[in-house]
Amino acid sequence: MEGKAIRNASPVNSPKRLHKHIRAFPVWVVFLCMLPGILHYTIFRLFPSTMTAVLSFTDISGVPGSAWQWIGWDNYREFFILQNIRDLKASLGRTAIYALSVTLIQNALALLMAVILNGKFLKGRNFARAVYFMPVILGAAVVSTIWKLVFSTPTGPVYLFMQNVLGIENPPAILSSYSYAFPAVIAAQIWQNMGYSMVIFLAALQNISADLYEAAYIDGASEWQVFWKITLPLIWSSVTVNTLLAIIGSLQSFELIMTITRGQFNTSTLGMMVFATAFGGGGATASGGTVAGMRQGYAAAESMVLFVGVLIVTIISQAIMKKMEADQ
Amino acid sequence: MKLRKLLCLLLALLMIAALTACSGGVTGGAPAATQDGAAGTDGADSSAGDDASAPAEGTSVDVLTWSNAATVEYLKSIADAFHEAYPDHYLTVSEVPSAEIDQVIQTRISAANVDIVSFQTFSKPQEEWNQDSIDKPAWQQYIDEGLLLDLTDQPFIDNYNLDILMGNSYKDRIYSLNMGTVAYTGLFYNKAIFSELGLEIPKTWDEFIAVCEAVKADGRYTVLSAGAADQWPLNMYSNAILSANYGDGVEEIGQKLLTGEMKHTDPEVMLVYDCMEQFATYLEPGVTGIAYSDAPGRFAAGNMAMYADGSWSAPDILRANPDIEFGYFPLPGIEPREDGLDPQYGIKYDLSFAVPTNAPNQEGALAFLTYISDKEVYTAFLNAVAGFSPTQNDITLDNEFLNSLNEGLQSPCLNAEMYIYAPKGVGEYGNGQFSFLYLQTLGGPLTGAELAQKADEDFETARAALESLNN
Repeated sequence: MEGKAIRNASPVNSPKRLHKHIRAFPVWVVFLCMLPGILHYTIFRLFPSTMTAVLSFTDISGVPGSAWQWIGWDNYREFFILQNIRDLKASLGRTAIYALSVTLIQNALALLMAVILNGKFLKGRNFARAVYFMPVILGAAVVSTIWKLVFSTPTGPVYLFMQNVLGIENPPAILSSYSYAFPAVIAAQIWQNMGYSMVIFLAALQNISADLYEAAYIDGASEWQVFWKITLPLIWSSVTVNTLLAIIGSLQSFELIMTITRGQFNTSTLGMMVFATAFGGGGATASGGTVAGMRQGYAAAESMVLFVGVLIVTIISQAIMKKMEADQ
Repeated sequence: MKLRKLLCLLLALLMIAALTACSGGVTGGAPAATQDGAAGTDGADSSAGDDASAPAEGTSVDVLTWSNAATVEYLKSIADAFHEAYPDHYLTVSEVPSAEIDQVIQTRISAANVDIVSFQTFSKPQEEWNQDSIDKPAWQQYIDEGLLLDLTDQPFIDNYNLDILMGNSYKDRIYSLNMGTVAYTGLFYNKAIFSELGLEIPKTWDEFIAVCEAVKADGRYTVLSAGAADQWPLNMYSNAILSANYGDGVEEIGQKLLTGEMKHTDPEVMLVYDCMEQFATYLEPGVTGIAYSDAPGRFAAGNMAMYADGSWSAPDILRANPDIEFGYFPLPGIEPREDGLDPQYGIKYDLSFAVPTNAPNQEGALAFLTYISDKEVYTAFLNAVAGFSPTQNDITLDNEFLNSLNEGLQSPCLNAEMYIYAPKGVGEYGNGQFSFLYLQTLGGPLTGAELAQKADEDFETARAALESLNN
C-alpha cells in the first residue's frame, strides 16, 4: 500500500499531498530524517542564542578560564546609561539609516537589473547576470579591499576623477571623511548584495507566464502599465522576501564596516559595536572609540538589544508587506 | 519495504555524519609547518622556512606576531639555526595585521594553539585609583587569570637590562620578554631636501614651524605627510606634542584628566590642540586618505621633506628606496629643555614575547626565548629589524640609522600614549588621543578650541554617568 502511494505520487505541490506522502512513512523514519536538521538547529542556533541571552546578565570576559558572575541588569544599565547618549542615539540612527538605505536602494537596483536582464533578446544576458551576481560570492575582506582601492587617496580612480574631471582641487578622502565614509560603506554593502536580490527577482520574473504579457500588449497596455499591473503584483512575494532579507541582513551587518573603516569616522552601527566589544577593535562604543574588547557579557547584552531591534523592525515590516501584498 | 527503511536510516546517518564532520576540530597527527595564523580572521599567514608545505621534524613552536616585514623575515631566517640548536623543536611564524593582533591573541589563547604571543607595552593597568573609571586591559586580564607564564626566574632574563624589563612588568614580575624599545615621537626627514634648502634640525616648536614654512615657500616638495587613514599614525603626534613639552610629567596630566582635576581646555592641554592645528596645516592634501601601509613608500619616493612615523619604519623606507638618505629627529617642544639637552624622544616598549600557560609546546617556547636572547642572535635581530633600541646591555649595533637616534635617547620618557586615559562610556570627542581628525584643518568639523571644549563635556558626562552607575 505504501509502495503504491509512492509509485502513484504526482509532483508534490500542495500541503495535502505532502501530508499524504509523509503518512506513507512510519513516524520514526520521519523523525529520524528530521533529526539532523533539529540537531543542527538546536546546537548551532537555539543553544548559542539562548546562551547569549543568559550571558548578557553576566560579566563573562572571554578570557579562557576566567571567573564570571551574575550581575543582573548591569550590562543593560551600562548600555543605556553609561554610554554617551548623544553618540548612542547617533549610532542607532546610523543603524536605521544603514538598514533603510540598503533595503530601498538595493532592492530598487536589483529589481531594475532583474527586469533588464530578464529580456529575452538581450545579448550576453547570462554573462551580465554572472557579473552582477559575482560580488555576492566575494568575502567581506575582498569587497573591502576593492572599495579601499577604488577610494584610495591620492591614487584611487574616484580621487583622480574628482581631481581631474570634476576639477576639485583637494578632493576629500572618502573613506576617512566624517561626511562621506558612511555613505561609501552603504554603497559597498549594496554593491555586494544586490546580485543576491536580483537573482530572487529574476526567478520570480521567469515564473510569470508570457501569455499574460501577450494579452496585455494586445489590449494596448504600455510597458509601464505592464510593469505596474502585471509584473509587480506577480512578483510581490519576492519583494517581501528581499525586503525582509535586506532589513535583517543590514541591521546585523558589521563585516564591511569592520574591514573598511573599523567603525571610525562615524560609521559604527549596533552590529559593529557588538563585534568590537566582544573582540576589541575600533567602534566598540557608540562613540566609535577603540576599547580593549574582551567583554563578552556586555557584548551579549548589546546583541540582545540588537535582536530586539531586528525583531521589532521585522514584525512591523512583515505586517506592512503582507498588507501591501493583500492590496495588490 | 525493508530496503526503503534501510535506505532512510542510512540517509539519516549519512546526514548526521556529514554534520559531525563539518563541525569537527583538528585531529592529532604529524606537525605541519603552516599554522592558521588568523584563527578565522582574514589575517595573513606565513610559516618559517622556504617550504611551508613540508613539515619539519620535532614539535612546532608557533610564534604569533603582527605584520612587520623586518621582524617576520628575521624570525623566518633564524628558523633553521634554531632547529639546529634545538632539534626537538622547529619554528613557525603566524603573522596577522597589527590592527587584528588583539583579537587573534584572544582566539589563539582560547584555543590553546599558540606558544608565543606578541604584545607591546603593558600600559594603563586598572589600579585602585582608576578601577571605577576604566576597563581592565586585555594583557592585565590574561595575567590575572594566570594565562601568561611568569618569566622572571628564567635564566635568559639575566641577559637583559633588568631595569628596562621591569618598566614593562606587572606586580614586579616579568610576563613578557621585551625585545626592544622604540623611539617614535620624531619625524623622518629627507637629508637631500634639507641640505638643498639649507634647513637645520629644529630644536624648538618655532624652529619646526619655520622649517615647514621654508619647504612650503619653496613649493617643490611636499612639506609633511603621514599614513593618516589609519588614524593612529597621526594621533601619535598629539601624544608626541605632550611628551615633548612635559616629558615624564605627562603621567600626572593623564591621571588628572581622568579624575577631572584637569581639563582639556586648561592651558597645559590646550597647548596640544593649538600645536595640532598648526601641525595639520602642513600635512599634504588628502592625507587623511593615505593608508599607513602606503605612507613609507611615498616618503621614500624622495619628494617629501618630512614624514610622521615611528622609527620602526626605517627599514620599510629603505626597502622602497635603498638610495634615499634620511634621518629622524624628535618633535621639539615649545621651549628648549631645562636640562640643556636637545629634544628627546618619547619611547615605548615594542615587540615583547609572552608564553601562554596553556601553550602546547611551552618547553619549545622557552627554548626559543633562550635562543633569541643569546647576545649574538639578539644583536643580529636588532640590526635586521633596524628600528629597536636594545634592552640588553652592551649591545653594539652596526645600523647607522639606529645609532643616529642615540642623541635623542639620552633622557627619553615613556610617551604620553601610555598615560592618557579615557573614562568608560566617554563620547566621541574624548575617546581618542586628542584626535587630529576632527580638526577643520583636516576636513573635520571642529577647531582645536571647540574640540577641547567638547572633550571636556564628554569627560564630564562620562564621569557623571559612572558615578550614577556606581552608586
